[in-house]
Amino acid sequence: MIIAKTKSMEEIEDMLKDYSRIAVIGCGGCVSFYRVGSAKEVEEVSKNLEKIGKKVVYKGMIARQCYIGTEDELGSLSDEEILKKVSRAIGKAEYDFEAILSLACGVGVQNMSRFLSKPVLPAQNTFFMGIKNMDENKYNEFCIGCGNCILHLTAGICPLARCPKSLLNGSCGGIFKGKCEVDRERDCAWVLIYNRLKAMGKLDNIRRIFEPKDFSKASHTRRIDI
Amino acid sequence: MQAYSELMKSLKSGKFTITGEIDPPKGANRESIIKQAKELKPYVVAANVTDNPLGIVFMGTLAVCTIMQNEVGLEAIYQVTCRDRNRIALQSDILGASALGIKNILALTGDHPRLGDHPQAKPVFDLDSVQLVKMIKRLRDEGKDLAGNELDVPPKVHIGVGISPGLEPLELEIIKFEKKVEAGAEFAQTQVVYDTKVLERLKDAASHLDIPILVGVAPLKSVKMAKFMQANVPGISIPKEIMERLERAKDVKEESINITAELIREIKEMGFAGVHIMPVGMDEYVGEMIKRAGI
Repeated sequence: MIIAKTKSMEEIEDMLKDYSRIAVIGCGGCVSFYRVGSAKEVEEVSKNLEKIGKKVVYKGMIARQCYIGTEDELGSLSDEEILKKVSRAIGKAEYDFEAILSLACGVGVQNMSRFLSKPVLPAQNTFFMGIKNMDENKYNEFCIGCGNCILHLTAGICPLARCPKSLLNGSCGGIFKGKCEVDRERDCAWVLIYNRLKAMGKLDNIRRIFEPKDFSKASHTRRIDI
Repeated sequence: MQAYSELMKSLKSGKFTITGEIDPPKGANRESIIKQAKELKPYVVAANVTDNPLGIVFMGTLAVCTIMQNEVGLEAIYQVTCRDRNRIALQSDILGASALGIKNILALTGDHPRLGDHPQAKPVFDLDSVQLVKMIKRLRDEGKDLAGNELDVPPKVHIGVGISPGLEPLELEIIKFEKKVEAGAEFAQTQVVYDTKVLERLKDAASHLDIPILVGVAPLKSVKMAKFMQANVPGISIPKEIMERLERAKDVKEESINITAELIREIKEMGFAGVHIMPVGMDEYVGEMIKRAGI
């Protein structure tokens, strides 16, 4: 999942200061799953906007803001036509908005901006690909999208994403009671990898020397052939 | 292989080898380097220079190494970490170090900047310590950089690595140590050890590896420091007897010199290649520690 957290109302208010008629649109993807961009949050954010004097003229949900259609399908349509096609309105819908507040991640906001002529503004701060650990109520990064997966060798635990130093050949000297030197509440990724490989009888997987990572596949700005 | 450095000559001779450590100044203070180096020189064959430990800014390692070698004639062990430099900067610095006359490198991962006073800094860690060792060996032995391009003159440096024998799980640390040796490490220096049990298990676990190990020792300057290290520093365990001796001691400094001397003697008796003394500010007592160890 892509992990995002909603910005403070002060920040949202500031980015909307030039606009009074707003569309608020949630996303049914990752942000909905973790309850920051679902229909419920659309209602909440809208209520807060009304409190500071904004008029929310359109509330809606889009299944996935990171895919709303192709250039051929949407390229020639007006904002109103696009929303009628891809968004499910919540309650009464008016289309004379000046800006769209998107509750999607950074990818969703940018994809919407490709097709809509009105400004699409981000309600979220987008962090990373990861999961929510319900036990400790924390989000953990699980994948840095490095373009060269080694999870088959590391027992399904990514050292690039889960070791703060992204070490490929084993832990650093900072293991403290199985925890990480950077955050002593977090398990050392390499201890997790070691324990799981040992249990599977696959420690040989990490006896090899992992060569320097090809970061040309992992640095911004990336484009890959399909 | 040929020994370029006094350190390597000493290790190859089988003589019990002692290295020390210089703390780079917090500022552009040449005198502090010269003072520390002069203090250590009579007792050690070479001295490490740390690379901004914990990500706290000190004078650059390469400059300190050069000053102590040129001004005092104390051989440097240039600590290189992966924290602040990518593979381009690392190779470039290593070539420069060799040209400046540096003959020993200790290749380390480095502390994460989050631990220091610049936690906002972008950590690099383009390479890890195993990859760093392999890269230095390639520069030296193949005369090629990581991209495969030829060097006009390869660097002549010996490659050292760290090991923390008190870490759990030890097997994970040993797997990494094996990889460092395979990658080209020629000597190792350990995290500080106070517990001879830790040394026994290191001896067992690393007996199949043909590499000289210098065991890290550092005086415990106070009971407070000992308790802090025990509670906070990864891989450190301080035996109860040592803690009690420090607590009972009328003169803690005196007792810590004795404890360090005894450790040095035991390390020698156990057959390790030598010790790496980190004086932690007690530079003027290093000679006394060695003398009382009977070396």
